[in-house]
Amino acid sequence: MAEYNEEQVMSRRNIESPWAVGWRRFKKNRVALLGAIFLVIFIFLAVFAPYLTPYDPTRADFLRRNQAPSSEHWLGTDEMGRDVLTRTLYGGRISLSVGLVAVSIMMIIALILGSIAGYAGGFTDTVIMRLADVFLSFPFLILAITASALLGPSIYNVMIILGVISWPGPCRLLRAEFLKLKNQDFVQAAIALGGGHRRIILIHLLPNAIPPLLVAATLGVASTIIGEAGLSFLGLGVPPPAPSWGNMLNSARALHIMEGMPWMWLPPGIAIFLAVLSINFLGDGLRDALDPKQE
Amino acid sequence: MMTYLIRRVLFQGIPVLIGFTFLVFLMINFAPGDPVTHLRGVPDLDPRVIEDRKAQLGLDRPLIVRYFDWLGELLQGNLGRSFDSARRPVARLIQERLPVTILLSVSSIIIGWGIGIPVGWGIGIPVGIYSARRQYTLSDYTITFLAFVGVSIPNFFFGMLLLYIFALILNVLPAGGYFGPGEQFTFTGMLSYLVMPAFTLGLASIASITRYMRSSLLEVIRQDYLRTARAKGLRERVVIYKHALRNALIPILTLMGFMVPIIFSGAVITEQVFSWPGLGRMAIDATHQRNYPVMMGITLMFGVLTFLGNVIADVAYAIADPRIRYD
Repeated sequence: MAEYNEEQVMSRRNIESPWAVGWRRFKKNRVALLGAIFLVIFIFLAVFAPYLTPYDPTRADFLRRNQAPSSEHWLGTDEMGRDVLTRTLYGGRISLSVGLVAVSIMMIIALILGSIAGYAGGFTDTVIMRLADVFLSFPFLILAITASALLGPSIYNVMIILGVISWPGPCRLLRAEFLKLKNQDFVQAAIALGGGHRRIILIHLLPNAIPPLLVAATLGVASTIIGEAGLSFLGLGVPPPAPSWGNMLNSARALHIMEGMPWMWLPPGIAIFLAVLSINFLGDGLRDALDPKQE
Repeated sequence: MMTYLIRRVLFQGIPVLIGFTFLVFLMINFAPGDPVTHLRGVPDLDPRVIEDRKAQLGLDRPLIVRYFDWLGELLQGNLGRSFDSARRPVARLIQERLPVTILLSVSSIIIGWGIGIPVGWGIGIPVGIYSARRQYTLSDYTITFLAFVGVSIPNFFFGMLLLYIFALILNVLPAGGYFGPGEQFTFTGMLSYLVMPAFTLGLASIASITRYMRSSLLEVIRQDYLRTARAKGLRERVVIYKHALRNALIPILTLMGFMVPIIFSGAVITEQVFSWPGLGRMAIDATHQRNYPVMMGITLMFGVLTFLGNVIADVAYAIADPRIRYD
């Protein structure tokens, strides 16, 4: 390697990396920052749930059923005498972890299939894209319900189902990025220099495709949280007695509970709403910050 | 345009439909329990009897052969019979429930478009025109925020809130359901049953169409041809409605294709919240009863409806954008 003179080193230091530009823009977006802060609070509440509440989320206490909010039970108790606040905190653990795991599964599938489709092109590309079309031609929830009925309800099945169903979106995105990047000079140069397939994909293409994928993954967490809540609400997701925001709403669906004991269903509903809202704000802020067309 | 549509249906639609029916068929086959399961529990039964029974039912043939048999039946409208005691044909069950689901879905689409487009337009125009001076007005901020709220609130929770406020507290609307037995059909009656579920299902569409309409309009309003239209002395009304609106609507039409499956997903949950007697509710009941023929029939039905929705979106797109014809 040739030596750098001082001037070159200085100029290198002054060039802002795309991530630094993104962070500078993100910091200015107050709504997105607020979303990020809320999300950190949610994660904190979920992680430290056992230290924040003295109650057990699943043990029934039939002497304290259906109690209204009080100083002892801040959000009251449910039909089995369990503390609603405790269940909402623990529910956050399940909802957030389902969101994260499902999105990881989705991204792994999307990364592999999207890279292959975008890089190889031709027949391989057609096959993968038609497969994506097949998945997209089912309404999301219909497919999730059918799959959950076949696999049986369990938290792991919910993660797998939501992850496997939602891969076509980010897969198409990655493929489109690859198609755009493939024709750019630096990639053509790398190919001309004799870079192998793996090197081209992993070093030249993938890193440049990360910003839109990061946005897709963030928004994906929001939609899988809603997906989990929806499945559990229908009684096909996380099975009781483990608390999830969706199955808490499901068990409060009877009209007399809805009318007379709103403390049982308002907290989990508001929790889903706030968690999803803050993730959506964060994702939108990331999109604005990382999009090179902005500025 | 016709060639474009025919190409679209033949080369993209048909392979997808085949793939999707095959996926449904695979799921039916993976479903636990087949017509010979009950024989396996019989003690001292010669295994050959089971094999004979399987051969009799055609279950010993290769998967792919059975798929085409099944597909042939499907094309004749035979979806098998329900597992429950009445053993009614699945096709009939679906036929009975389909109209109410279509009613709900179409109403929610009308609400989504009817509100989303004017609101997005309404906030987009001032932003677009004054953008040089002030980028964001208060109403723009507020509505953009509300649109975020609209896409973030799960529709079952929103439905429960509506039910709680309007049916249980204010007592002005029925608490779910749709015309009970013996109840006389009236138009106002239909509206009173329909308004909450349709809004619940339409909320997400209102929110996302508002956002897309706004950004699509902002995109269009900065184009050179609008300046040209003004420069050649066209009235502002003509510029906005003829030149800007039509072009701003094109991306919205593509959105319709994406939204059809989302609407049907939402319908399943909305029907559950409001006890709406449609396909979605039947799907959930069938799922809890492990009634596979009914589940698969409904899955297929929703897939076909989604396919038709996409074709309609393509037609609308081709009509709105003449450039597509030469594609």
